[in-house]
Amino acid sequence: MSGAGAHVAAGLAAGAIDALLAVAIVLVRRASGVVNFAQAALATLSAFGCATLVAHGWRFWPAFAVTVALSFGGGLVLAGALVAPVRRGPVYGWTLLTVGLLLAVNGLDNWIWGPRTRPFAGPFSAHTIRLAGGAVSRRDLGTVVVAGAALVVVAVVGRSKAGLGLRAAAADPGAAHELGLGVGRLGALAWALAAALGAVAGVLAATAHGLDPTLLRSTLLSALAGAFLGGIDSPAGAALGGSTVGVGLELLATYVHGVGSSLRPVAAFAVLLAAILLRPSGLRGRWGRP
Amino acid sequence: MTLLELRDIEAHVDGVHVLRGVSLELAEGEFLALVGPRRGGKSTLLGALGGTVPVTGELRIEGETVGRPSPATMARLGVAHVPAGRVTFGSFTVADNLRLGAWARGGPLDNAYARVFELFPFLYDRRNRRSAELDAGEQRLLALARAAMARPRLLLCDEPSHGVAPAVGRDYFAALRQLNEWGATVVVAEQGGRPAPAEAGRALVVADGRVQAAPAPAP
Repeated sequence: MSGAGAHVAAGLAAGAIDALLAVAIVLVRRASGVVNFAQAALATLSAFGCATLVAHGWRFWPAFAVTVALSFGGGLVLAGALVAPVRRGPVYGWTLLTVGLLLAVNGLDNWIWGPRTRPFAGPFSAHTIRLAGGAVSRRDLGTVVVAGAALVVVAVVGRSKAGLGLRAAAADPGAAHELGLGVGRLGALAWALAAALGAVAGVLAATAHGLDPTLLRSTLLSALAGAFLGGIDSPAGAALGGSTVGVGLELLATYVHGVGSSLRPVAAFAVLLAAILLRPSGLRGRWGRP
Repeated sequence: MTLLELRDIEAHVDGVHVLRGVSLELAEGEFLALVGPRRGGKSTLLGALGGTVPVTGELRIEGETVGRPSPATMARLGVAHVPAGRVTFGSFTVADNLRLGAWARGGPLDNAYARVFELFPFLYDRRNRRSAELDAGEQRLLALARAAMARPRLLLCDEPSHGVAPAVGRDYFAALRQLNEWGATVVVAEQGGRPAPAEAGRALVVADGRVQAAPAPAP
């Protein structure tokens, strides 16, 4: 049983990345009523940015901080450039736009960096330490800690004045507008926070698995499953749902013979399907309406 | 001193020509009631003052023309608008609803909270409850309290006593009178056909999208 702790830790690390992405998806969904299918692709782009800085001799942490900040700014730009013009359009138009963005960003990654998987040495080694009677890799532990810190930052923002505005604009955009809140700007803030969270997820995933344009492809699916499991409009629920799905899939892949990494997306899809069928609240809200 | 001046204000709502050339002046510290028939344009006029209804014409605050009135612009200029009906954020706590009222204000809010809780002590007791747990009358008062958090210079209230118990209406107007004494200029639109409230120092009839003459004084 000495391996169980390591597998749980690996699951928690994968779950932490799922949770970050799930929270990012929920933040955008609440603010704009749209599921941003490009969230994972944007996160991968951020990871490439960070890897490029490191390749140019930057130390990891400054590169990481700059990447997160640039991604935040990129989220603002994206909200201004893409979201504002189509805000009054139908939701399916938006949704198609995010799928298009996913493919476009993916193509851009391939064009600039190529499809080859490159190693990305993060700040945490793969060496194990003994923790609670089991052997846990430093990288898994570091991933959980960094992701947890990012989620704490988002929770703190959520309790600030800006966070109150974000929640109000999400709960009732019309009433928030009448109160004098800048609903458009708050929406842009949500996109920016989501992009920053995605950057953290992308960099953490790249340091664990190496970096290529398909880095977070199956993570998108498990993050969506986690977001729906948590009730698509609750960031806290998404964090919990995302980590649960991540841990579950990791343990499934470890202990159920035949479920390797290839079948991970299939399992994630099954969870997503179950979440949508069993948690109809996940479909309530603007996404499901014509 | 003139706080607010409207000249030839026109407004269309959903393709209907609702305001047809409204001009009026409001002195600082006034308590004005808008009365008149249903669908005469009272709510739209309040919406125009609050920035929620797009208008053409001229709107001046302290002599300065407001270029593009939006709710955010008007809030920054010290206008707080309480629309008709149940308008609080039901899933938010009472305290968060109040905090949202002060959105356009910077700085510490301790004094604003103190004043609001002085006006509405029951809100202090329920500050950590979701506003949806309050009854309709309490929510109506919370909406006024939220507007008061902004320490508005101009407070616009649409049909404050419509659909709530008479006691709530009395509490509402007592609070309005206090806010007026504390310096806020108040404009209240009463629902169609009702006379002007006793607290109002002046009343105007709004009908067919125009400000008509002042109503006949109550006998």
